[in-house]
Amino acid sequence: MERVWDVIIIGAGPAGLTAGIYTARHGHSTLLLHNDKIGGRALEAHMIENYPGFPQGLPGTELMKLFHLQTMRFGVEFKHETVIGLSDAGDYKIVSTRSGYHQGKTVVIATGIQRKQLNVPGEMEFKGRGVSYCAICDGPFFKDKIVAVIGSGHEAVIDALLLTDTVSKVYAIPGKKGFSENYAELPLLHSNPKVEVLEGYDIVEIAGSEFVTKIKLTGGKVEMINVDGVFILLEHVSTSNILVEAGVDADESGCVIVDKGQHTNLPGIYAAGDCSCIGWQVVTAAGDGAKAALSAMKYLKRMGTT
Amino acid sequence: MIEIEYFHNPVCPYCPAAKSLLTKIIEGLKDIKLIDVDTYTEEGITRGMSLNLMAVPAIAINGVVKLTGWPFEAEDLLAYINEAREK
Repeated sequence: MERVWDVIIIGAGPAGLTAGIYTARHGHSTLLLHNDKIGGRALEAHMIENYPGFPQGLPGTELMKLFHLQTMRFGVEFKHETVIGLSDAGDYKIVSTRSGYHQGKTVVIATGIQRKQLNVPGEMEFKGRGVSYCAICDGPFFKDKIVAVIGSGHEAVIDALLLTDTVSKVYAIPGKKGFSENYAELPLLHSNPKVEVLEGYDIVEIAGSEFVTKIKLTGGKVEMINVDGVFILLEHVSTSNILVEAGVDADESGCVIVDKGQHTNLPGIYAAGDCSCIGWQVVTAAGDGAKAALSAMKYLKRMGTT
Repeated sequence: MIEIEYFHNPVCPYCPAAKSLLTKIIEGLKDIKLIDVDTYTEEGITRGMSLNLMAVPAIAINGVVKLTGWPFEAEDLLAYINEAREK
């Protein structure tokens, strides 16, 4: 008979790694599947200063290295495989990957989130050559240039204002639906002489030759704008399409719906961390991971499988 | 000697990961000279803009930008290093 793991964890960010520490430490066979670097989005944090126990702060890479070491210490098995499906076969769950499939009595979903892409022609072609996803990182390269900021969330508003310190003009393009909320900084954005807010438009193409030179819009009178850079600052989305297909309940944004014990609507399947769109912090993700692991262990005990 | 310029800045969330991979790859290679370029300094941003750089992290080899953004693959960087050796 093929191996049936006590716990399969999908995702190697703070939530997934913490869940692994808990389940493996209690002697449960634990498989952790990841298709990205171990540490998840926390690796992007230049310095984490609010994770308890590290009063001087430490880079996300360092903190995640410690998480990883602790997980390894308890014997979690890691496999670098991309998950493409999840199904509930009753007594066990089947997690399909590009390399095959794995069977587990319980599953902890800790898939995190990813930055939403525009998915318009030119976006990938000009990535790093005018298209940027980080205004604070790449803004200085656009000194005295014209840029567009695409996004309707708070980050887009803040970063559009930030860019006015450097660039000569900012086109703020929140999309046809406008800004997501009535953010406190919106009056500042509208009154800034360097900013032109183009509401009611959607971007449909990024064009140029070696570098970005223009963007194409739809929805209003303006059809083409000359720009040197495009900052894509869309709100985050969950990476959980596969989970929804598996019958895991999620809200309109794709965030997995969980209760206080991180239970999803499916018995034996739990979700933790950013994929449930709660907390957004390393410490809350770790807490979610611990709660999901505790719930999974209770489930295993109840099922009499340990 | 192959000159590798590593462009970064202190607020770039992807830069530490890029630096970590870069360091690992060039560790022990005696024909590499690594130059850290902080684009949050006047000198650094000027150097980056002179190479038409528009994003960090980025890696230039012998004055030509080869890799921009993160992630990049170790194989790609090694291929660029070998290409520079052959020239």
